[in-house]
Amino acid sequence: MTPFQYATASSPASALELVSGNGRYLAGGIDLLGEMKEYIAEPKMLVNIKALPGLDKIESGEKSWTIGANVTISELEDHAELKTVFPGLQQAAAEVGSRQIRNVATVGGNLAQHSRCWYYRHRDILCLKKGGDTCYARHGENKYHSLFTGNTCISPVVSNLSIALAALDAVVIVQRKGEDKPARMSIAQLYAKAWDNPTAHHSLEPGDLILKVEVPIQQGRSAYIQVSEKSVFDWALVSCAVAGKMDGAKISQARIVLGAVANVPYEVPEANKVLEGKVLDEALANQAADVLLERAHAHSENGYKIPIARTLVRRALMQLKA
Amino acid sequence: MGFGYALYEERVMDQLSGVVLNPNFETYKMAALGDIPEIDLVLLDMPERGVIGIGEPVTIPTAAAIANAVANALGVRVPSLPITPPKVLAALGKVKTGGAA
Repeated sequence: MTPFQYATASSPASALELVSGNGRYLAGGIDLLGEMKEYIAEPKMLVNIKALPGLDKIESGEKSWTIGANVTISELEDHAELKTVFPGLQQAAAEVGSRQIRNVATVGGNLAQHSRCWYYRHRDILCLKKGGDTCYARHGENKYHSLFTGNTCISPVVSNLSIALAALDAVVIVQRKGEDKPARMSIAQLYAKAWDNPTAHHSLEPGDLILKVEVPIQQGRSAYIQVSEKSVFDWALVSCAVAGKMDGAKISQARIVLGAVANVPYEVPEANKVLEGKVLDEALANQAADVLLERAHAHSENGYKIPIARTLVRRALMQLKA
Repeated sequence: MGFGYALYEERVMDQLSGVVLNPNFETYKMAALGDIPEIDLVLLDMPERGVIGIGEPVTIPTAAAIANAVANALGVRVPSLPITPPKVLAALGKVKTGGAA
């Protein structure tokens, strides 16, 4: 780890000021400190944002719930009411890391975390994502990598919360430099840049600060499931979040989002449309999964993710029925 | 130890450069408490054997026992360790060996 300065911000404005010039925000530090220890990130300044007022609360409003960026994953997981309003979000939170990690990791950090690709995370390898000229995973070891990408990098987005929040149509409130009012970004917008640009992990620019997440209250249900190699404390090989309104046996306004298979939370509007207004059963869920996975491109070692994704879509949709 | 040997532990090396890609316990996966099922202990009271060591010997049959259980459940054998999701799907004929679809 290279030496750095440390400062505590008391307001979003002072945080943005302090971070300018090769600084990084420090909340839980789970992702950042790992990168610093491997010399992948070498910030000159760490700006502690844990003292920012009001960002550690979960609040319910008339139309939406607001979750502060500094809320820990454990708080999200343990929130009794949230469990019944957004079960999918609670299930996604419960699958993050280990309990010790969830006690420290924050919502903002989970959304803004960087790639876990083992080429990217290796201090001796200058891969495409780090500004090199080759994605080594493409022709190397890629069992954890993407089935879909808009560029040459095939490292997938690994934020559990982003997958559930995408299905729930959440809005991320971001303070950007030089803007009076915080920007409102959909989850798709928050990651769009990673689809096109191999060096991007998300659409945030250096200095952009996630303040809150707004999750609209829907009349529908939600679910999240993942498959990992280990039973606990492991990354998803594939994850799937679904949300939708059930009218008897019929489903409407369905959203299916896959995680760990693309450099963005992966959604195909045509797959959602397959479900609209129809009686939800396994055959219909399979049809939607087929449309969702139609453009999947497997590499030498990650093709097994396709049948897993198909199964997860079906299982997650069946949870909406229950 | 036998449990990790059967299901998780694997050194992954980039075939072109020889760089080990999982030199950490994030991707070199080790079983944790939540992964281990309840274990029945059977104490053998055999004073005629004297004091004997226990350590490595128990790791050898564990993986074999788990592999047999997997074969029993699937109806086909997974021919190498660790028994990972891609290998199970390959053994079932759902994907080609190596995981390519």
